[in-house]
Amino acid sequence: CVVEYTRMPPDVQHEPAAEVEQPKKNRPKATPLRQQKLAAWQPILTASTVLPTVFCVGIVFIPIGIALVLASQGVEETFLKYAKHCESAGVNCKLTLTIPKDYTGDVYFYYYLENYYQNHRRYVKSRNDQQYLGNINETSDCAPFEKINGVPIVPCGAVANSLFNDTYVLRRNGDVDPVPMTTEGVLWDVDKDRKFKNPPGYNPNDPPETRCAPFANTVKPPNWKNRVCEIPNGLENVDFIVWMRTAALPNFRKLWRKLDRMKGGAYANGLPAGDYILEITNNYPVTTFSGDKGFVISTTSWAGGKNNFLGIAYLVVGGVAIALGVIFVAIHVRFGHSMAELGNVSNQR
Amino acid sequence: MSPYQEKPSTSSHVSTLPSGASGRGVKGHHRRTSSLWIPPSRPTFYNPGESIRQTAEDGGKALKQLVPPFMRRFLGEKRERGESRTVIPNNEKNPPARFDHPSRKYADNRISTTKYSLLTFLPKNLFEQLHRAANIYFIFIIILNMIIEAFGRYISMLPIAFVLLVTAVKDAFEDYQRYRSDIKINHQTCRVWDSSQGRYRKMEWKNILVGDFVHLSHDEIIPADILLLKSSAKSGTCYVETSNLDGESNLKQRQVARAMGKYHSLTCEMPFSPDEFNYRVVVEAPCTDVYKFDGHLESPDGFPPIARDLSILGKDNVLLRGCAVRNTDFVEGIVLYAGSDTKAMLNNSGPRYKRSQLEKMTNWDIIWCVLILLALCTTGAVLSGVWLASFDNPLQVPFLTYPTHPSPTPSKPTDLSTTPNPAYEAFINFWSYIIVLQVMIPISLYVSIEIIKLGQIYFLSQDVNLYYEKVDKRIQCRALNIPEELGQIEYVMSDKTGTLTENEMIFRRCSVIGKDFGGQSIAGVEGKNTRGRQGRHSKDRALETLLATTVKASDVSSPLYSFFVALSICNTVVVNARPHEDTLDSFGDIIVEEREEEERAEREDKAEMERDRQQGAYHNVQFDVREEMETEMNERSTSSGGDTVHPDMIELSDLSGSDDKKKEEKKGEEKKEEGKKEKKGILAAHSRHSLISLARLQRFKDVTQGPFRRIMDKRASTTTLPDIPPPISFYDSESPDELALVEAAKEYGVRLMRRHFEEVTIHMRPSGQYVKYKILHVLPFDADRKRMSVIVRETFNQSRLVLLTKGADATILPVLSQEWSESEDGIKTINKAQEHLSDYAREGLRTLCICRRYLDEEDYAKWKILHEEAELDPHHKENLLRESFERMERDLELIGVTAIEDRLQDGVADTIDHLRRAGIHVWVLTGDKVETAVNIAYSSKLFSQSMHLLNLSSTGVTVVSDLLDIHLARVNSVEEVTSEGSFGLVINAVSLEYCIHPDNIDRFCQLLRKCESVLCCRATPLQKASLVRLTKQNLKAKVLAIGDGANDVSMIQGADVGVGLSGQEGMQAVMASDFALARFRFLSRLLLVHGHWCYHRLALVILYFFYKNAMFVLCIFWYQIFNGFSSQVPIDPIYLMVYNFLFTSLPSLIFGFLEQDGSSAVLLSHPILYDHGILNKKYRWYSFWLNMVDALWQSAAVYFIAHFTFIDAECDMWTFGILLCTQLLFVNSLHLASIVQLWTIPMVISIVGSIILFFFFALMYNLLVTPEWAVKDTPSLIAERAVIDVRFWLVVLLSSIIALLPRFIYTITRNSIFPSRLITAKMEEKSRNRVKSSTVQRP
Repeated sequence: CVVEYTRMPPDVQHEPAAEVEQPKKNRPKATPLRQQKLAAWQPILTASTVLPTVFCVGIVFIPIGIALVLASQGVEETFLKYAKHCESAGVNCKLTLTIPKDYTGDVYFYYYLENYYQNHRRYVKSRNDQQYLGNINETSDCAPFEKINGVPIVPCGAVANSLFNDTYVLRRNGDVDPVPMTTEGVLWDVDKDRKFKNPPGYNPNDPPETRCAPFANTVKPPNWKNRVCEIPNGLENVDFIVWMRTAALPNFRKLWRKLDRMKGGAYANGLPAGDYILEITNNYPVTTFSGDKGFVISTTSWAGGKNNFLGIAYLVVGGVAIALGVIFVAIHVRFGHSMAELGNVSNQR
Repeated sequence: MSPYQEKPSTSSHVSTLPSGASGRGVKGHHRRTSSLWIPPSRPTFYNPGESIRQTAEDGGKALKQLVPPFMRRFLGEKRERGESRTVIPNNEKNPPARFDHPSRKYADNRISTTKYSLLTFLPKNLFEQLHRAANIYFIFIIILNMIIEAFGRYISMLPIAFVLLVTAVKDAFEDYQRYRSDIKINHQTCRVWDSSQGRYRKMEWKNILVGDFVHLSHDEIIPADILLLKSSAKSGTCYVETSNLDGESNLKQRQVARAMGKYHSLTCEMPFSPDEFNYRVVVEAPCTDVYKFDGHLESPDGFPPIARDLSILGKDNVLLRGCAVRNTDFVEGIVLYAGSDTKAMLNNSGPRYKRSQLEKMTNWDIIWCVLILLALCTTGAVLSGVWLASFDNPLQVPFLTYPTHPSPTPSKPTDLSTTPNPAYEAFINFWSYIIVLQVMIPISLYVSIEIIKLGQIYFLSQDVNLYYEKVDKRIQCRALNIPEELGQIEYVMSDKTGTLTENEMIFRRCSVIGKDFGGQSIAGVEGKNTRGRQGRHSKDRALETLLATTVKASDVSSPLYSFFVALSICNTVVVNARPHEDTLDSFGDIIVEEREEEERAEREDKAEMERDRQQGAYHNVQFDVREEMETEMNERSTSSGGDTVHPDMIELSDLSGSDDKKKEEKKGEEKKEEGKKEKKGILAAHSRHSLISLARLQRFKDVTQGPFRRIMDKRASTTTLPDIPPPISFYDSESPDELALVEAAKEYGVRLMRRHFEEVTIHMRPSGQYVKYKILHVLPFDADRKRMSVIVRETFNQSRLVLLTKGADATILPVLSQEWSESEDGIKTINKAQEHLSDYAREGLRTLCICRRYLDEEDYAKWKILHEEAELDPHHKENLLRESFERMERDLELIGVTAIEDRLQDGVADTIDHLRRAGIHVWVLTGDKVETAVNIAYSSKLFSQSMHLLNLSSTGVTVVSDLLDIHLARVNSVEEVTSEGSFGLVINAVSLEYCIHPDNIDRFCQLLRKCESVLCCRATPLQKASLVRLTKQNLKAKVLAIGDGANDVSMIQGADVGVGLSGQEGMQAVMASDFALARFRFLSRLLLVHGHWCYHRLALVILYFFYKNAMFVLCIFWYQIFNGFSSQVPIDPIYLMVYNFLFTSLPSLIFGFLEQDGSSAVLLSHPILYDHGILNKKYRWYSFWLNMVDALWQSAAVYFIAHFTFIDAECDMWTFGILLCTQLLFVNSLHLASIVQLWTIPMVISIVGSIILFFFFALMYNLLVTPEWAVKDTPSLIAERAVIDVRFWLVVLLSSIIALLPRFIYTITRNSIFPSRLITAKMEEKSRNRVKSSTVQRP
């Protein structure tokens, strides 16, 4: 049987209700995210729109620059390079220096090394932080200074081996007592607490013979004069810890001592002006790598040591920003108006 | 004895019905089988432990799959390549249990397209991932690091672990999708012969074994490669649609094996039961060739041997997996190949991977990155050697790690690392640099790009503007990795029919006996018909009257009569009283017209709803039912087909009337009747039939991607009732044109009632007669001949033989009868017809010529012999058949011309206009003839009036060559005068061949480049594809192909971006496409907005990645100058490793998802902005280098500001490193911020969040780190100390400004002095909005 369904005449035709009822399950949800119509800020970067920003940069940067320059100017610093001078003098080398005016506040004593690549990869790598925590038999990664004839070196590694060993005594001209210096505040607490520990049983106040018991069956690094147990505080020695924090750049200073103002006297407010004599134990070789070494006496400021770079850079950038702002104003005046009148988009490139 | 077997006949649904069906009560027919039996979905046969064993076996199979193929051979698995397989039918009375069935040695029908299983995922995925070049690089670096140890051993694995993880998750997800689709396919059911019970049972595909007998109904998808043994058609043929396999949408005829001929006798039918099949099938081993099949039948021992000519099997006997059974009630066959052995699976080569142009450019730049990396590494390495050599006595230098006096390790005195050796140092440092500077090659780029593309695709698919409400379809993104290609399309190649047009053919006009009919009524109909798309045929009263007179006069020789007969029968339209009906239901039960009560009730509810909805339409149905009933009654004394109609209804029939008034009356009557019937429950019986088919249809709906099918009510079929088709009959046809013609004929009262293979019946309404024609031959349509014919014999009067032909005018006019066309009548007809043809074409109508030829018996007999020979010729069948067709299709008499309208889709003209204004060349490739196509081209704005049209439709190399010269000269001369001239080219596909002749191709391409629009007429699918290829190769342009039909598949696949329109012509185009749209008009938004965005985003993100990594690397490299080129990195390796994916990836991903350089409104209103992508403005060859230069500047700014701030000062390496890292992060983030043009909340959060995350990470890390973490010089509290130093922040601020200054100045200057079109457009938009808001505020 043929059941056939012919088309209806148009007048009978009506919209079937079903069309409306039908669920549109494939219809995408009309959320702003899905339709990519999120509320948005659409800046158009033109001379006129960025003008405020550019001037703001200028207005902010110039004062910062001035402040930085002033801060840098306020830092007092005496910088002595002595490698040349002491080359002939041998181990005990004396230098005279003049502090032109009083260094008030905290005064820091640094040693300075030039052309010294403490950031050389193999040098940086050659250490074992586990050992410095007292596990004296750990020497992995310390090559080539890990063991001598099978006996572990403590502290092992190239960094430790090359420990800077010049020492300084600063004396005011005519004084018998040297300028008081302290290691207090030289170290970061975290280093002392978490990175360097003597092996158990080590007591810095013990006599040398017993002090070295925890370090039994170890040898000193080849370049060292003494075993680590023989230097003050063993592995927690301040100079050692400071040295072990490798410097980022080949010319660097490392904090050696601070002025001990607690002792009072003439140094309570800082380092008074005058002539001083620096007595150097000149141990460290620098000529082999055509380097230099130095001694720095410096105060500090909120913006670090004496360095004008940042301040000048800020001033320059601030100036450039202002100049740019002026140029942008000119561009805006010259081209800004025509833009709105450009009108027909398709007439252009 | 199964119920199935006791049935007298199964050959057609008509005869399956019990003979006493008519005159039964309301409930109808007796039950044949208990419908209570519901077989389990997965048949568990006798052994309850079978399932357990099977599971174990499957596990074993999975394990086996782990083993690579070459190993399997050693493990004893025999491949059957080159051998043949013998298929033993699974029809023994007492079959062995299926799990140890002999056929199990062949693959069963379970398919698995997944790459992994749970067990194999980890090793296999890792193995695969580690194959990729990028990952090999990673591994190489890691191994290198194990040796050199530039970084901590484990830290360096972080990036690869991350990349591997992300990729693994993605792969797992994709594989899971495949697994799900496999499951879905494996769980499809079909009916398989269960010989133990002697009946077909529903079974899941995966359990089908080789040798099984399967039963398939109309529209069912073939589950495996099957030898056709039984067809419901008496002729033993069946039709399959092979589009899933080869993309051809025309139906292919398949023939039962010759040995089965006895079951298909036309006169004496024999029922077939699989039990009776006692041959073995010997077939070749599985192979991929779809067009090849060898095999034969064998008798088993002890049976008489089978005659050789009966035993041969060919490809015509085989139904391949994936095809669909069409126009046949049911077929039965034996499985030859199952599952992975089927041709479909062997040919399934997995998803295509398209590479976008941007990606290709990226790859080049990555090669540049490698070169830069190598250059940096070499420089660094050499300089490190030089630096070492500069020391006179390296052993004395304290920071050089050479053991001083005495050698602490005397055992290895020659160890290179302990003696200073510049060459060795350089060598080691080279590798070390490769590790340290590895990020120069932005490996994370690949992962990021993939994620960004996924995100873009997600947003693309979510666009409500690409959603077509009417069919509830959104855009489908089938290719996930080419969204940015959408932004770079230069050529759009579009199909016409169904793509630009609705593909809903409506018969508009015709020209018969020298007169034009229907011309006037178009306007009227269109005017009234607001909905348009369902426009009715415009019925020309004059024609109707004329026809009525002719018919009443029985003037069968009149051209008018022949014309309408030809419209009705010269086609492949199949009338189905209902959907093809199989008497076996899906469970293998025989359908009778009764169901379980509850089931029926449920269905009735459905039907009731259905009916309510369709109230108005219903009357007509019943009217037709009655009319049809009459037919049935007249035709057959024994009720055979019309089983379901209650006799009551027949009483209502009143056949004579056909005028509308009478109809109206009847409708009223009907309504009353209906009410009555409903009370009596008659309606239930009445609708029974349709209900069954409904159920069937519903099931098929999921699986069919069928041919063009039109249900008589279009509104119902296309849009409103996808789930429950109304109770109706179907005209099934491949071509919508044919349907339009058949329907038109019906409107005029010549109605195709029934088509059998040997006979058609048409009903002449004016006379009320049923006229039958014997069909002797059908000469099918093909693209070369562009015509089709039927040879029929009249069953009245003289029983003349008539050839009815319809075809394109170009192929019809040359074959007209010489004699006739020289007669006065003929000349007049032809002249008129040609005049009308061009009229119609001008209106954009599709025309067909209808011809006839009365044949001599003698001639016919002669031809028939030759034709049959041709058909049987095994080798040159195709050629011989073609010749045979030509012998027949000549000396025709033109009787009329038809014009069919194919309406343009809404918005097509605007879209094409948009695309053209965007600088995209739009080509329309159509099979239509030139005039029609040109008209459509004008109405779709492909051509504009101001355009110079160039015509290229000659044949012959030299002629075309001359034409090309002329056209080029013209183009050049116009261009000299004005730059405004635009050109449109019309090509006839015939001349295409000459255009691409080596002599012409260069000039042809030159011409193509000059032409904005190209219209290619009469193009075959292959020509379309070759044009796409030509454009890609010779014009070196990005091509998008859009089409909706199977004939566009090769074009779509060949294009850079294939877009399928999910229209009415099935799913083939969609399946082949990368994106599937519901309407053509979505194309402009897809390209101009989404394409633009995606391209813009990706181009910028890729450049940003290059810049970011280069900057990082250069920054590290600057530091090398100050550390002896020792490849030391001041930045803690852990930041180095996570910097790319923790601190800087999210903002760039968000940028890739959300960035818009212009809103969609701006982009759409200024299509010209699309040239960003076409001209590749965002990613030029030098873009990479500009970014490198920028990176160089920025890295220098970052490094040296830090350097000079801390030179000579007390600053340790890690502090310096964290400062550098912070600067880098700030500069990178600000750099990104400077290119962001759309500041949304997620963007802000991601940038700020990344910076906060960095500080959180750094502070936490430095707080928690201990020496156990294997980081050299444990950076305890470094970050905490660094951030409290005011210089840290001052440096960060200063370097951010200085680093970005050049780019900033450049951008501002360019935007202010030479604003891009985009900027101008945006400013316009802004000022317009400002004006708008101010005018709103004023009142």
